[in-house]
Amino acid sequence: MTEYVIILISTVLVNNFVLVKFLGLCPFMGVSKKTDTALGMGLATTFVLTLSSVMSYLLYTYLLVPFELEYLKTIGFILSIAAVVGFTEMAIHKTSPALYQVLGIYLPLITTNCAVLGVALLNIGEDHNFIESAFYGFGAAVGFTLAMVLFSSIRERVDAGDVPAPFKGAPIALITAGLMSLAFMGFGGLVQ
Amino acid sequence: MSTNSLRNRLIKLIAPLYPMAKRWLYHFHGGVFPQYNKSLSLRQPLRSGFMPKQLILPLQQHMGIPAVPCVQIGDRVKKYQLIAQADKGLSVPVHAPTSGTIIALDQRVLPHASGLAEPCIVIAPDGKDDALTNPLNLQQPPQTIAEFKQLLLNAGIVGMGGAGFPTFAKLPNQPGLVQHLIINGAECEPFITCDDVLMQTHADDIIRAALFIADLFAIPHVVCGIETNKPEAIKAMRQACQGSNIEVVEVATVYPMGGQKQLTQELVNIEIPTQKHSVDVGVVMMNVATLRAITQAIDLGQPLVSRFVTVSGMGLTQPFNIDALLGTPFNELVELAQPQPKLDYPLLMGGPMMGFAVAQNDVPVIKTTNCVLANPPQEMQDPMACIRCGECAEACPINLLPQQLYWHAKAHEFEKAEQLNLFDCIECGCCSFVCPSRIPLVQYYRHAKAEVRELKAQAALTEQAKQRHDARIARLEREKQEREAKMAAKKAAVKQQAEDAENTVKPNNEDNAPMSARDKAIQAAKARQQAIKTQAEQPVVDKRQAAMEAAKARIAAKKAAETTTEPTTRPGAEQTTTELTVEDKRKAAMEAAKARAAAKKATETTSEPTTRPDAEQTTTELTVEDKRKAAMEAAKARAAAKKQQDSSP
Amino acid sequence: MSIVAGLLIFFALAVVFGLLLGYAAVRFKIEGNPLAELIDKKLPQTQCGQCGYPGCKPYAEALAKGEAEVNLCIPGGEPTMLEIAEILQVEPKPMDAEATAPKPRMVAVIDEDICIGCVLCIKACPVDAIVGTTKMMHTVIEKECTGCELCVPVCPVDCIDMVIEKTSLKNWKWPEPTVAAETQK
Repeated sequence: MTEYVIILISTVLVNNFVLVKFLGLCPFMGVSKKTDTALGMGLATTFVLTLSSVMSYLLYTYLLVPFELEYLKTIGFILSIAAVVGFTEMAIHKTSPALYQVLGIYLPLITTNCAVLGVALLNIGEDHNFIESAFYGFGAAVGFTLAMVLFSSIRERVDAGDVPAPFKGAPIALITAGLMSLAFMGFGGLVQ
Repeated sequence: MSTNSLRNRLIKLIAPLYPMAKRWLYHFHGGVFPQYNKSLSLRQPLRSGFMPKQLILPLQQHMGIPAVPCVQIGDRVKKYQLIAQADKGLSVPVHAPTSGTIIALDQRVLPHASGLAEPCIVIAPDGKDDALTNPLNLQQPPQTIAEFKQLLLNAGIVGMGGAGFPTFAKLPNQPGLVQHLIINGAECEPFITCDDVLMQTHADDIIRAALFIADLFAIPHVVCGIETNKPEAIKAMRQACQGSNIEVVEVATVYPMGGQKQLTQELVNIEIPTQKHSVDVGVVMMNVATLRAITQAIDLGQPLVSRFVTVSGMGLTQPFNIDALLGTPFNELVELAQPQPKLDYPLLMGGPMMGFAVAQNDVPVIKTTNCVLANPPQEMQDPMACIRCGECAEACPINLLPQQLYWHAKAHEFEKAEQLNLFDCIECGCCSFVCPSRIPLVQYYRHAKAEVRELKAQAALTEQAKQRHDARIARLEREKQEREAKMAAKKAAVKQQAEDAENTVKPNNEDNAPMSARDKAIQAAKARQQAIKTQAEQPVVDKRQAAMEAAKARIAAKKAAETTTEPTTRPGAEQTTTELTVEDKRKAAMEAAKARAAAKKATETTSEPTTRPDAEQTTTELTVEDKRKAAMEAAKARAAAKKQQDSSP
Repeated sequence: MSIVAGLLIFFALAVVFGLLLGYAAVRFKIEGNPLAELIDKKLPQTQCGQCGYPGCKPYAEALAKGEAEVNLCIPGGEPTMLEIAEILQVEPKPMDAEATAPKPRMVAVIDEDICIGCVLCIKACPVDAIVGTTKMMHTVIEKECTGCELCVPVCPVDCIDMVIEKTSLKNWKWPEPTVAAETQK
């Protein structure tokens, strides 16, 4: 049980995919203007990440390895991720058209979100079993959502404040992201 | 008691070192300690009997709906006479403060932050001060709550502390709902001493009204809160309370102790929940001036026509308190206090914390004017950027987050400001007072409140417009269907008729069998008649249908008129179609010509010139085939013209 | 062997995912157009038809289908255009010069001395805010009027004027204080 907790803490805080590993940065910057959308994106990514992490594991362990087709893992993973994203897209379009519109292009872009493929590949690299893979994917997604929501909250407040003209918009957002990354580095001593 | 006084003494000892230690003296959060300057206006004795050159009485001196004037220009009025009646709803009447003549009923600038001009009654006093006897027609003090509330309404009494909420509307309708009656004598704004003087001079009146209300509404607990900086008033009030169960409590001198929520919390330890009125938690608070007005109404039957006003400020050499008639212009009062330097700056109504500069200095004293302040303008320093020191949050007596509210108000994120309980803000000005960057925070909140209100009103209007539009579309659809049903029924009837006729005369009409010209003409005429009828009934929508019908009729008529050569045009022959004389053929031809003329006209009015030559061509050559075409063309053109006419506005 | 296995596996995967997505397409089929509702909420509901559609709802529907430009709503002005552009995720388009700012609330007022009672304005009003009947004087119910101006051109005697709502104590607003950062410059 402890190892699962450690995996969770490690992925959410210590090795946060966005702020420490620099994976999945494009939605992190792209849809973090409002907390609502950031949360929506976080939830969509959580769903995709967890599911694709599990599916990639199953695909790799039960189909590719027995037939010695490991060299096809990348294309196989991308295929399964694309299917999950397609499914998620339709589900969101049905359940929350407003969120669907707001997420816009970033929703299909989850397909090529490096965090998603990264989790799938890292699972294999670290020899995770089925449950570990699920936890790893879920933890990564929670970390992603956490970073998104925190960052969007900061951005909302920064937008209302007096930002010097040259820093308005993307520069201040990137500076904020840098400072957040700095803060997350502080979790480095938590595990190990 | 002794531990309490020991604690107070200890706090006073610390205060010079740590000024905010004074915040431990009371129960609510925040609060500030401005320079009070109350002694200025207490040096002079209370003045009264000042009669200005004219009295300006706004129809709206209270919160709610303006009163309705019931006098004419030139009318002579006596003191206490009703000059404007309360309107329906939340409204109170206005009475004449002295005898005189109504000289104007027009728009005058109000003592309001907007500086707007609103309807006022202007009285020129005659100096005699003739008073009506028993103006409110009071036989005995009111016995029931309903009578009492009616009396309050008739006397025009509103909350005189500043809000101006009609007093009758503030009280419950049955006894037993209120546990605490709080007499508000805190008077926490700097400079203002009118309530202080009132308590010193009319303590008996205040207590009598309080006891009367406590009795009528069965209120078990009556308490009066007075700030410690008014020892004279406390003494006078304690004396007046002797023998009754009214408790006079000294409360700490802090701004805004006189706020309803603050004093309630201080005296009875009840916090009024957000979006609720004090009466919901069993508390009624009355200002001492309001209570005195009530005494005047129940004892003497006098309406509210005067009030105590503090005339003070750093620009006056002889500041004073005065029992001023309502409607007295500010500048006349200020001149009495010998302004130094000359009065060339805007006066303030109210204290320095919550007051506002008036647009013109000749605005009148109204029921809510507690102070006229003449502070010469000081060098205003520009506001600077917020440094996030958090002093405002420390000072806020409502425990709001002024800085957050400020960010949202400034960024026009009004919804978020509303979520942070913007509407609980009492606009006391503590946050602006402590702000080291001199940001006019309260202004931002006032603006944000107004914006939120407007957005809500707008949303309501939008919703209403949408509903009405939908209702209209539904109605039009229904009407159209009804009309179509009617039309169909009529058509069926006509067809039936025609078939009957054919069956009797010639059964094989459909096969273009030869038919007498007369019969055909009859049929055509019938159809036309039908068309005209429907046209008259449904002028706009069915014109097209009627035109089609007419076109069909014309085709038939043309067939009948095969033998005629050139149709002579004879405009003005309108009714001939209904008659059936021997000249059928000719008439039918005439009809065809008319149709062509109409078609020409129609093509002329349309912006498409291409159809015109066609129409002209058809008028020159007149073979049977062409005629038919022309008629078709004409009908089409007319339909198009009509369509265009209908669609273009 | 392994090539055949690979082909088979990926073929099977393609079939499985295809079936999954096909099922999702049926399961999550969108009925109606929820976007139109969303846009309709943002429109000012004056029903003025200045966009070329017979009311706000049809315009919203056209927008949702992508058949209309985002900058057609004159009464809503630029703020509405920006909101629509945000919902639709399209580039904002500049408004016509005179329509950049939303107009102040206007209401139609019929000069009752001139009115001949032709009922033309009653037919034109999209929200039924004009009362009256043939040969009788008409009047506008002020609180229902959306200020769409549709009644103005149809009046044969030009007796309808658009007036800006007067500021009174009821609708007066505290002005916004000048922004601190601006005074600093």
